[in-house]
Amino acid sequence: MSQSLYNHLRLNVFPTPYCPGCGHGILLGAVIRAMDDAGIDWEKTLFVSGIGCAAWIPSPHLMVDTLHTLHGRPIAYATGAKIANPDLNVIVVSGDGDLSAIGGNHLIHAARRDLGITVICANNRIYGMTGGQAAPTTPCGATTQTTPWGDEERPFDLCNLVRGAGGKFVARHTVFQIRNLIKTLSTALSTDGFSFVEALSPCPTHYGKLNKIPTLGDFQDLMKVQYIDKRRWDKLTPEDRKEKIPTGIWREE
Amino acid sequence: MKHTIEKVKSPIKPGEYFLMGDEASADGAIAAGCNFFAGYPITPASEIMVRMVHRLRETDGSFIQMEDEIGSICAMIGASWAGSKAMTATSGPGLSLMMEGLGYAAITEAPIVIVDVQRAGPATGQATRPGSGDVFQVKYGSHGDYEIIALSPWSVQEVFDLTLEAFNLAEAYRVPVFVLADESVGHLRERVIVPEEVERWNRPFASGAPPFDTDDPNGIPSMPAFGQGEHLLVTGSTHDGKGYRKTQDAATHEKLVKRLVGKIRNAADEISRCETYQTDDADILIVAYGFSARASLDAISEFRSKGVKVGLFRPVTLWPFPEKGLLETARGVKHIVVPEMNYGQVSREVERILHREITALPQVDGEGMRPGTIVDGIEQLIGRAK
Amino acid sequence: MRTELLFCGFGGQGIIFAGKIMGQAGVAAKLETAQSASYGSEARGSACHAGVVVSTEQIGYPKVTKPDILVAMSQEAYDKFINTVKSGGTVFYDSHLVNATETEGVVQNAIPATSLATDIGRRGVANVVMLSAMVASSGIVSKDNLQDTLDEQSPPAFKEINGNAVDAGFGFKG
Repeated sequence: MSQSLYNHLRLNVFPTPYCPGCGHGILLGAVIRAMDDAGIDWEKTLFVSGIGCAAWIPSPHLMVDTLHTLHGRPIAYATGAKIANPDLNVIVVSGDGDLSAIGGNHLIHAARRDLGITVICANNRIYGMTGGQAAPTTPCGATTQTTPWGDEERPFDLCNLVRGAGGKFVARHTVFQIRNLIKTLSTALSTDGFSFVEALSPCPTHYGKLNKIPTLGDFQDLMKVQYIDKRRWDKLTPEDRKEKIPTGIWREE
Repeated sequence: MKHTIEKVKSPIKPGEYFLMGDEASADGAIAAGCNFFAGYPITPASEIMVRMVHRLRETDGSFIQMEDEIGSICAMIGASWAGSKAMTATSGPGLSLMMEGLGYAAITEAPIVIVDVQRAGPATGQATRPGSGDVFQVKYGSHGDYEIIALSPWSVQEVFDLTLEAFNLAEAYRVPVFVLADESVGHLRERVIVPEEVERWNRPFASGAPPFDTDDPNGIPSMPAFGQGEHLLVTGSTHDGKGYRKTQDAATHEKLVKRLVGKIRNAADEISRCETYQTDDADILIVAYGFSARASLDAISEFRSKGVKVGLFRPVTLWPFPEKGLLETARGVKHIVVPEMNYGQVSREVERILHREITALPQVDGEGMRPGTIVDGIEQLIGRAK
Repeated sequence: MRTELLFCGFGGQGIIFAGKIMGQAGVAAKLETAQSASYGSEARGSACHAGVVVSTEQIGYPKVTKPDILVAMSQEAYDKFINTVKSGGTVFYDSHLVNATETEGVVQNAIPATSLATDIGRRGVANVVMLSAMVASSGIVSKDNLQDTLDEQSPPAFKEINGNAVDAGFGFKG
């Protein structure tokens, strides 16, 4: 990262509280670079987050206005701030549980009303801060503290959900696809209307430990096989799609 | 820090109106400089939201109908930190949903105004009928220790006046303020006089000053807004003066909680307000607020015409409760009765303050307090005393 | 001096509107005025009533308990409230919609409001005819107070028809 980008960090709070191998630090770096690429005015930017590991990505690490809110409610807070001051660039960074379980209603309504904010969902497919319980994004069969015999429920496909609700720009990348992720975030930040980026982020500490993916390297190997470009995924047969998860852009208006 | 005061020409055309309490609340908010409303439809408070749609368009403010009441209070807090004077209006079920957000507003010291047009509960209860069962909820409903301010209007004019005052108090003390109205007053129409000029209080602000701590003994820190280049750290977790999370530090937590509570408790005499009617020679004192105080006036004239000396103590602020005023007024009084449209809430507070026996006169039939309830209660009391 | 008025009928007849106009006219006449209404979940067709208290002094309890004046526009409402009228009170009922029952100590006035309203071309202003006949008889506010309030509170398109309704109410001699 270039020296000038360090100015956007509160270096006094480093190192981050993230566990070894957590992808959230990579996402933090990607957000800063995307802000720079998109030419967003930091002084007119508000980062809003909820509760959970991902909610700590902007707060307190970024040297910018931050609003660290209640569990599930960052989008509701962001709605008020954006409408009260439309000149603010309002960016929500929070986790999958926060945004799609307890806060799912705010997510779909912000997309429906085409609120001019960007929502970045750090999806590690588990509740990390509380010790590893199942999330609405936990894959079928995955082991968590609350699904010790494998999750029997189907997970949300967040990109399809938000696209269905009316999001203007909707995309998904893993934190390992760093160039794509930064570019996608930058496009999202420049979108006029509601934009949503799902950033798949590994959680070796909880998800990995319970599902035999113990290290960041193991996650990287797995994700490389599992995640494929959406354009390729679209051409696969339903049978071949089963083991794969598409990444790319769902909608761009 | 101290708030600033400005006098402005009323944005609502001065003059005499015949308004519903809910409408007067919206107009009082606009007079106070409210420029943000987030809400969700609920009986009997929806009329406030509907009037705000139009009023905020006329005054270039912002309005949003949220997806639920949780969203409403959160949006309001976001707007408050973005520099707005923000408001919502709700009733029991909506208020219950807002409780977590209330605690958030308290710990981040976000000025917000919640108009609660109380209805008969619990749960859905009787949506179109009045009650005053939310008195304790606004004070104790969110978890942890905090303080709020609650005002209790007894007339439509006072709904206007107290909504305006609620904004001023919220700004000055950086605290959530409730207007605890009820359906009886919310749907009542009466004369309202809108003054030529209104006094507005604005939140204290000094560039660069810590937003969550102050050396000022009043305990009220400076409040900047997003977008001013202050790099604010606003969090619902325990935080130091600059906003850094301190979730493991006992001293920081204690200091924060004591300041949040202290800034209101220490100013209780400044904030609290009460009125008395015919109490100088009273043998029997009615302690009543809101609509119940209106009914008390009729009961008083009935007893006075028979030579029984009954008077009224009316708290205008329910929280902080006007303790000093009550202690003074109750001195020498033989009996104290507390009629209310709940099963005994303020009556317990009165008992706590006075350390003496009082008679609660609850009316929980979903009707506005009737003079007859008070008359019957006092007659029984006199009968027993003989 | 406190006077309690109760307007009753069913939703959609403009009962609450009549109460509101009465209250507003009271304010215009420099009286202390309070108007309250029954609110149900249904908007139309169900029983509804509006109470108005006017007084020369501060109003304590602002709701109607024993009306001095009852204005009834449906049989159901009439039956429900006729026995609440204060002794010495006055009742005005729409003779097209209500069969009155003799009640001791109460003076009852039959007003053919629906017919009068139909005659002037709009059945929907029967409420204004009733209100006007009651105001003409009781003198609580002046005709000017009533007419001005109606003009102020109704869309301009209603000015003429309301004016005719007020005239019909004031002109009716029982």
